[in-house]
Amino acid sequence: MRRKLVRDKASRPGVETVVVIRLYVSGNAPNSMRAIANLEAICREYLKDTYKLEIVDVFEQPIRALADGVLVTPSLAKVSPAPAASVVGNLSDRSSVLLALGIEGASR
Amino acid sequence: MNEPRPAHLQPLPKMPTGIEGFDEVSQGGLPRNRTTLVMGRPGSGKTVFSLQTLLNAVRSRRERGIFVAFEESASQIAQNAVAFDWGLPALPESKLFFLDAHLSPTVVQSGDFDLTGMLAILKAKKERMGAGWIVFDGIDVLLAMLRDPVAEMREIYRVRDWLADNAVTAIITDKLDGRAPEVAQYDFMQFMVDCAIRLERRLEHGASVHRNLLKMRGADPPAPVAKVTLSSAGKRRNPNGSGNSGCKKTRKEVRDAS
Repeated sequence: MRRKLVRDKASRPGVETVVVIRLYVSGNAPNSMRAIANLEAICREYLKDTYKLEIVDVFEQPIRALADGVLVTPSLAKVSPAPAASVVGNLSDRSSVLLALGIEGASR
Repeated sequence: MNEPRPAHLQPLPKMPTGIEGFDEVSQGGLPRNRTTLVMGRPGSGKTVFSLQTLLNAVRSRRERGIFVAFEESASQIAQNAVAFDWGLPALPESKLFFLDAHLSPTVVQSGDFDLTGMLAILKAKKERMGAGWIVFDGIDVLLAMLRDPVAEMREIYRVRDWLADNAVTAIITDKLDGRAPEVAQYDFMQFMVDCAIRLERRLEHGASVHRNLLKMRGADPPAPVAKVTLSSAGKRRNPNGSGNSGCKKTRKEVRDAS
Protein backbone atom coordinates (compact mmCIF):
# COMPACT_ATOMS: atom_id res chain seq x y z
CA MET A 1 0.00 0.00 0.00
CA ARG A 2 2.85 2.34 0.69
CA ARG A 3 4.31 1.44 -2.66
CA LYS A 4 1.69 3.58 -4.33
CA LEU A 5 3.10 6.58 -2.62
CA VAL A 6 6.33 6.14 -4.56
CA ARG A 7 4.55 7.11 -7.72
CA ASP A 8 2.72 9.98 -6.10
CA LYS A 9 4.87 12.89 -7.20
CA ALA A 10 2.76 15.40 -5.31
CA SER A 11 3.72 14.04 -1.97
CA ARG A 12 6.49 15.90 -0.23
CA PRO A 13 9.82 14.14 -0.13
CA GLY A 14 10.91 12.99 3.27
CA VAL A 15 7.37 13.03 4.57
CA GLU A 16 5.32 10.43 2.80
CA THR A 17 7.35 9.33 -0.17
CA VAL A 18 8.77 5.90 0.40
CA VAL A 19 12.52 5.96 -0.06
CA VAL A 20 13.75 2.73 -1.59
CA ILE A 21 17.35 2.01 -0.73
CA ARG A 22 19.68 -0.92 -1.14
CA LEU A 23 22.77 -1.56 0.92
CA TYR A 24 25.48 -3.85 -0.42
CA VAL A 25 27.59 -5.47 2.27
CA SER A 26 30.16 -8.24 2.38
CA GLY A 27 29.30 -10.77 5.05
CA ASN A 28 30.17 -9.44 8.46
CA ALA A 29 33.20 -7.42 7.43
CA PRO A 30 33.66 -4.63 10.01
CA ASN A 31 32.88 -1.82 7.57
CA SER A 32 29.75 -3.61 6.44
CA MET A 33 28.49 -4.15 10.00
CA ARG A 34 29.12 -0.49 10.74
CA ALA A 35 27.26 0.57 7.63
CA ILE A 36 24.19 -1.44 8.60
CA ALA A 37 24.17 0.10 12.08
CA ASN A 38 24.73 3.61 10.75
CA LEU A 39 22.05 3.26 8.11
CA GLU A 40 19.48 1.81 10.49
CA ALA A 41 20.05 4.72 12.86
CA ILE A 42 19.59 7.22 10.04
CA CYS A 43 16.43 5.49 8.85
CA ARG A 44 14.94 5.35 12.36
CA GLU A 45 15.62 8.98 12.97
CA TYR A 46 14.76 10.54 9.63
CA LEU A 47 12.59 8.16 7.65
CA LYS A 48 10.54 6.48 10.34
CA ASP A 49 8.61 3.84 8.40
CA THR A 50 8.63 5.59 5.04
CA TYR A 51 11.52 3.61 3.65
CA LYS A 52 12.18 0.25 2.13
CA LEU A 53 15.64 -1.15 2.73
CA GLU A 54 17.09 -4.18 1.04
CA ILE A 55 20.42 -5.50 2.25
CA VAL A 56 22.36 -7.47 -0.35
CA ASP A 57 25.25 -9.62 0.80
CA VAL A 58 27.82 -9.57 -2.00
CA PHE A 59 29.35 -12.80 -0.67
CA GLU A 60 26.03 -14.53 -1.35
CA GLN A 61 25.07 -12.73 -4.54
CA PRO A 62 28.31 -11.69 -6.25
CA ILE A 63 27.00 -11.92 -9.79
CA ARG A 64 23.98 -9.81 -8.98
CA ALA A 65 26.24 -7.25 -7.29
CA LEU A 66 28.38 -7.16 -10.42
CA ALA A 67 25.31 -6.60 -12.58
CA ASP A 68 24.19 -3.84 -10.21
CA GLY A 69 27.52 -2.09 -10.67
CA VAL A 70 28.79 -2.55 -7.14
CA LEU A 71 32.52 -1.96 -6.83
CA VAL A 72 33.46 -1.56 -3.22
CA THR A 73 31.64 -2.48 -0.06
CA PRO A 74 29.81 -1.27 1.82
CA SER A 75 27.87 0.79 -0.68
CA LEU A 76 24.44 2.25 -0.62
CA ALA A 77 22.17 2.82 -3.60
CA LYS A 78 19.16 5.07 -3.50
CA VAL A 79 16.82 3.43 -5.97
CA SER A 80 13.89 5.84 -5.73
CA PRO A 81 12.60 8.47 -5.71
CA ALA A 82 14.72 10.08 -8.44
CA PRO A 83 17.44 11.18 -8.64
CA ALA A 84 19.24 7.91 -8.05
CA ALA A 85 22.31 8.27 -5.88
CA SER A 86 25.06 6.11 -4.52
CA VAL A 87 27.25 6.34 -1.48
CA VAL A 88 30.30 4.25 -0.73
CA GLY A 89 31.72 3.69 2.73
CA ASN A 90 30.51 2.69 6.17
CA LEU A 91 28.15 5.70 6.23
CA SER A 92 29.85 7.24 9.24
CA ASP A 93 29.57 10.70 7.73
CA ARG A 94 25.88 11.17 8.29
CA SER A 95 25.44 14.53 6.57
CA SER A 96 26.70 13.23 3.23
CA VAL A 97 24.33 10.26 3.48
CA LEU A 98 21.36 12.52 4.20
CA LEU A 99 22.31 14.75 1.32
CA ALA A 100 22.59 11.80 -1.06
CA LEU A 101 19.25 10.44 0.10
CA GLY A 102 17.66 13.84 -0.35
CA ILE A 103 16.42 13.92 3.20
CA GLU A 104 15.18 17.24 4.50
CA GLY A 105 16.92 18.52 7.55
CA ALA A 106 20.27 17.39 6.21
CA SER A 107 21.81 20.51 7.68
CA ARG A 108 21.00 19.43 11.23
CA MET B 1 79.09 -24.75 -11.45
CA ASN B 2 75.69 -26.35 -11.96
CA GLU B 3 75.00 -27.42 -8.44
CA PRO B 4 71.30 -27.99 -7.85
CA ARG B 5 69.70 -24.94 -6.35
CA PRO B 6 67.48 -25.08 -3.29
CA ALA B 7 63.78 -25.27 -4.14
CA HIS B 8 63.07 -21.66 -3.23
CA LEU B 9 65.65 -20.53 -5.73
CA GLN B 10 64.39 -22.68 -8.56
CA PRO B 11 62.97 -20.61 -11.40
CA LEU B 12 59.19 -20.51 -11.23
CA PRO B 13 57.11 -21.98 -14.04
CA LYS B 14 56.32 -19.22 -16.51
CA MET B 15 53.42 -17.98 -18.56
CA PRO B 16 54.50 -16.35 -21.82
CA THR B 17 53.49 -12.75 -22.37
CA GLY B 18 53.73 -13.17 -26.12
CA ILE B 19 55.70 -9.94 -26.13
CA GLU B 20 58.65 -10.70 -28.26
CA GLY B 21 61.95 -10.02 -26.58
CA PHE B 22 60.41 -9.93 -23.14
CA ASP B 23 59.81 -13.66 -22.98
CA GLU B 24 63.45 -14.32 -23.90
CA VAL B 25 64.84 -11.98 -21.32
CA SER B 26 62.51 -13.27 -18.62
CA GLN B 27 63.23 -16.88 -19.61
CA GLY B 28 59.66 -17.65 -20.47
CA GLY B 29 57.45 -14.82 -19.32
CA LEU B 30 55.73 -14.07 -16.05
CA PRO B 31 55.69 -16.48 -13.12
CA ARG B 32 52.63 -18.71 -13.32
CA ASN B 33 49.96 -18.26 -10.66
CA ARG B 34 52.06 -15.56 -9.06
CA THR B 35 51.93 -11.80 -9.07
CA THR B 36 54.02 -9.48 -11.19
CA LEU B 37 54.37 -5.82 -10.35
CA VAL B 38 54.72 -3.49 -13.33
CA MET B 39 56.08 -0.11 -12.29
CA GLY B 40 56.61 2.99 -14.33
CA ARG B 41 55.88 6.65 -14.66
CA PRO B 42 52.68 7.81 -16.29
CA GLY B 43 52.87 7.06 -20.00
CA SER B 44 55.57 4.43 -19.62
CA GLY B 45 53.32 1.72 -21.01
CA LYS B 46 52.11 -0.16 -17.93
CA THR B 47 48.57 -0.52 -19.18
CA VAL B 48 49.73 -1.41 -22.66
CA PHE B 49 52.11 -4.06 -21.35
CA SER B 50 49.40 -5.61 -19.18
CA LEU B 51 46.68 -5.50 -21.77
CA GLN B 52 48.93 -6.89 -24.48
CA THR B 53 49.94 -9.80 -22.27
CA LEU B 54 46.31 -10.56 -21.53
CA LEU B 55 45.26 -10.30 -25.16
CA ASN B 56 48.06 -12.58 -26.29
CA ALA B 57 47.05 -15.17 -23.72
CA VAL B 58 43.41 -14.99 -24.77
CA ARG B 59 44.00 -14.98 -28.49
CA SER B 60 47.01 -17.22 -28.96
CA ARG B 61 46.47 -19.72 -26.20
CA ARG B 62 42.73 -19.59 -25.60
CA GLU B 63 43.20 -18.58 -22.01
CA ARG B 64 40.79 -16.28 -20.27
CA GLY B 65 41.42 -13.14 -18.34
CA ILE B 66 39.96 -10.30 -16.33
CA PHE B 67 41.15 -6.72 -16.61
CA VAL B 68 40.20 -4.50 -13.67
CA ALA B 69 40.46 -0.90 -14.80
CA PHE B 70 40.67 1.46 -11.85
CA GLU B 71 42.06 4.44 -13.65
CA GLU B 72 40.51 4.58 -17.06
CA SER B 73 37.09 3.41 -18.06
CA ALA B 74 36.95 0.21 -20.04
CA SER B 75 35.83 2.18 -23.09
CA GLN B 76 38.88 4.46 -22.85
CA ILE B 77 41.11 1.43 -22.73
CA ALA B 78 39.31 -0.12 -25.66
CA GLN B 79 39.84 3.13 -27.56
CA ASN B 80 43.55 3.05 -26.81
CA ALA B 81 43.63 -0.54 -27.95
CA VAL B 82 41.98 0.37 -31.23
CA ALA B 83 44.98 2.58 -31.93
CA PHE B 84 47.13 -0.54 -31.77
CA ASP B 85 44.92 -2.63 -34.08
CA TRP B 86 44.48 -5.18 -31.35
CA GLY B 87 41.03 -6.27 -32.36
CA LEU B 88 39.87 -5.88 -28.80
CA PRO B 89 36.21 -5.30 -29.54
CA ALA B 90 36.04 -8.64 -31.32
CA LEU B 91 36.71 -10.57 -28.13
CA PRO B 92 33.67 -11.82 -26.26
CA GLU B 93 33.23 -10.95 -22.61
CA SER B 94 33.41 -14.61 -21.70
CA LYS B 95 37.07 -14.62 -22.72
CA LEU B 96 38.26 -11.19 -21.74
CA PHE B 97 36.24 -9.39 -19.14
CA PHE B 98 36.73 -5.74 -18.31
CA LEU B 99 35.62 -4.59 -14.92
CA ASP B 100 35.15 -0.87 -14.93
CA ALA B 101 36.40 -0.12 -11.44
CA HIS B 102 36.45 3.58 -11.98
CA LEU B 103 34.16 5.20 -9.41
CA SER B 104 31.90 7.74 -10.99
CA PRO B 105 32.52 11.30 -9.76
CA THR B 106 28.87 11.44 -8.69
CA VAL B 107 29.43 8.73 -6.10
CA VAL B 108 29.45 10.17 -2.61
CA GLN B 109 31.88 8.85 -0.06
CA SER B 110 30.99 8.47 3.57
CA GLY B 111 33.58 6.74 5.70
CA ASP B 112 35.89 3.81 5.25
CA PHE B 113 35.30 1.13 2.64
CA ASP B 114 37.14 -1.98 1.57
CA LEU B 115 37.67 -4.36 -1.31
CA THR B 116 36.09 -7.45 0.27
CA GLY B 117 33.01 -7.11 -1.93
CA MET B 118 34.96 -6.46 -5.12
CA LEU B 119 37.21 -9.44 -4.49
CA ALA B 120 34.16 -11.66 -3.90
CA ILE B 121 32.72 -10.46 -7.19
CA LEU B 122 36.02 -11.09 -8.98
CA LYS B 123 36.30 -14.56 -7.48
CA ALA B 124 32.81 -15.47 -8.71
CA LYS B 125 33.53 -14.04 -12.15
CA LYS B 126 36.91 -15.75 -12.36
CA GLU B 127 35.41 -19.11 -11.49
CA ARG B 128 32.52 -18.67 -13.88
CA MET B 129 34.86 -17.76 -16.76
CA GLY B 130 37.69 -20.08 -15.84
CA ALA B 131 40.03 -17.10 -15.97
CA GLY B 132 43.72 -17.79 -15.41
CA TRP B 133 44.82 -14.14 -15.64
CA ILE B 134 43.91 -10.98 -13.83
CA VAL B 135 45.22 -7.45 -14.19
CA PHE B 136 44.73 -4.75 -11.56
CA ASP B 137 45.48 -1.55 -13.39
CA GLY B 138 45.84 1.67 -11.41
CA ILE B 139 44.48 0.42 -8.09
CA ASP B 140 46.05 3.46 -6.39
CA VAL B 141 43.32 5.63 -7.91
CA LEU B 142 40.62 3.85 -5.92
CA LEU B 143 42.67 3.39 -2.78
CA ALA B 144 43.58 7.08 -2.69
CA MET B 145 39.93 7.71 -1.85
CA LEU B 146 40.53 6.09 1.50
CA ARG B 147 42.74 9.06 2.39
CA ASP B 148 44.49 6.85 4.92
CA PRO B 149 47.85 5.19 4.20
CA VAL B 150 47.18 2.48 6.77
CA ALA B 151 43.85 1.59 5.18
CA GLU B 152 45.49 1.65 1.74
CA MET B 153 48.11 -0.80 2.90
CA ARG B 154 45.44 -2.98 4.51
CA GLU B 155 43.67 -3.24 1.15
CA ILE B 156 46.89 -4.00 -0.73
CA TYR B 157 47.52 -6.88 1.66
CA ARG B 158 43.95 -8.00 1.16
CA VAL B 159 44.54 -8.12 -2.60
CA ARG B 160 47.78 -10.01 -2.08
CA ASP B 161 46.05 -12.63 0.09
CA TRP B 162 43.25 -12.94 -2.43
CA LEU B 163 45.76 -13.51 -5.23
CA ALA B 164 47.58 -16.14 -3.18
CA ASP B 165 44.30 -17.98 -2.51
CA ASN B 166 43.04 -17.84 -6.06
CA ALA B 167 45.71 -19.50 -8.20
CA VAL B 168 45.83 -16.85 -10.88
CA THR B 169 48.62 -15.21 -12.85
CA ALA B 170 48.35 -11.57 -11.92
CA ILE B 171 49.73 -8.22 -12.97
CA ILE B 172 49.46 -5.17 -10.74
CA THR B 173 50.53 -1.84 -12.13
CA ASP B 174 52.14 0.68 -9.83
CA LYS B 175 52.84 4.31 -10.60
CA LEU B 176 56.21 5.89 -10.16
CA ASP B 177 55.89 9.42 -8.96
CA GLY B 178 57.07 12.01 -11.47
CA ARG B 179 58.77 14.00 -8.72
CA ALA B 180 60.47 11.07 -7.02
CA PRO B 181 60.84 8.61 -9.88
CA GLU B 182 62.72 6.08 -7.83
CA VAL B 183 59.83 5.55 -5.46
CA ALA B 184 56.75 3.68 -6.54
CA GLN B 185 53.37 4.45 -5.04
CA TYR B 186 53.31 1.10 -3.29
CA ASP B 187 57.02 0.53 -3.11
CA PHE B 188 56.67 -2.13 -0.43
CA MET B 189 54.86 -4.33 -2.94
CA GLN B 190 58.15 -5.10 -4.61
CA PHE B 191 58.92 -7.33 -1.68
CA MET B 192 55.70 -9.28 -1.81
CA VAL B 193 55.66 -10.19 -5.48
CA ASP B 194 57.64 -12.75 -7.41
CA CYS B 195 58.47 -10.55 -10.33
CA ALA B 196 58.89 -6.80 -10.66
CA ILE B 197 59.24 -4.95 -13.92
CA ARG B 198 60.18 -1.32 -14.24
CA LEU B 199 59.18 0.31 -17.49
CA GLU B 200 60.83 3.42 -18.85
CA ARG B 201 60.00 5.31 -21.94
CA ARG B 202 62.61 7.25 -23.85
CA LEU B 203 62.62 8.91 -27.17
CA GLU B 204 65.47 7.68 -29.32
CA HIS B 205 65.92 8.70 -32.93
CA GLY B 206 62.37 9.92 -33.00
CA ALA B 207 60.93 6.58 -31.96
CA SER B 208 59.48 5.81 -28.59
CA VAL B 209 61.68 3.15 -27.07
CA HIS B 210 60.67 1.28 -23.97
CA ARG B 211 63.16 -0.32 -21.67
CA ASN B 212 62.33 -2.65 -18.92
CA LEU B 213 64.26 -3.81 -15.95
CA LEU B 214 63.32 -7.10 -14.50
CA LYS B 215 63.69 -8.62 -11.09
CA MET B 216 62.58 -12.20 -10.88
CA ARG B 217 62.62 -14.35 -7.79
CA GLY B 218 64.68 -17.45 -8.36
CA ALA B 219 66.58 -16.00 -11.28
CA ASP B 220 70.20 -15.14 -10.94
CA PRO B 221 71.71 -12.90 -11.91
CA PRO B 222 68.81 -10.49 -12.29
CA ALA B 223 67.67 -10.35 -15.86
CA PRO B 224 69.25 -7.58 -17.89
CA VAL B 225 67.63 -4.40 -19.00
CA ALA B 226 65.78 -5.06 -22.19
CA LYS B 227 64.68 -2.59 -24.77
CA VAL B 228 61.24 -3.07 -26.09
CA THR B 229 59.43 -1.10 -28.71
CA LEU B 230 55.73 -0.61 -28.80
CA SER B 231 54.30 -1.61 -32.09
CA SER B 232 50.91 -2.51 -33.36
CA ALA B 233 51.70 -6.02 -32.27
CA GLY B 234 52.49 -4.86 -28.78
CA LYS B 235 55.92 -4.63 -27.30
CA ARG B 236 58.96 -6.06 -28.90
CA ARG B 237 62.52 -5.94 -27.94
CA ASN B 238 64.38 -3.41 -30.02
CA PRO B 239 64.27 -5.33 -33.26
CA ASN B 240 67.73 -4.93 -34.75
CA GLY B 241 66.80 -6.09 -38.20
CA SER B 242 65.19 -9.24 -36.93
CA GLY B 243 62.75 -10.97 -39.21
CA ASN B 244 60.41 -11.96 -36.48
CA SER B 245 57.44 -14.17 -37.01
CA GLY B 246 53.97 -12.83 -37.34
CA CYS B 247 54.65 -9.47 -35.75
CA LYS B 248 53.31 -6.50 -37.57
CA LYS B 249 56.12 -4.08 -38.06
CA THR B 250 54.28 -0.82 -38.23
CA ARG B 251 55.17 1.16 -35.18
CA LYS B 252 52.59 3.50 -33.87
CA GLU B 253 52.85 6.48 -31.69
CA VAL B 254 52.41 5.41 -28.12
CA ARG B 255 49.27 6.74 -26.60
CA ASP B 256 49.13 7.54 -22.97
CA ALA B 257 47.65 4.26 -22.06
CA SER B 258 49.38 3.64 -18.79
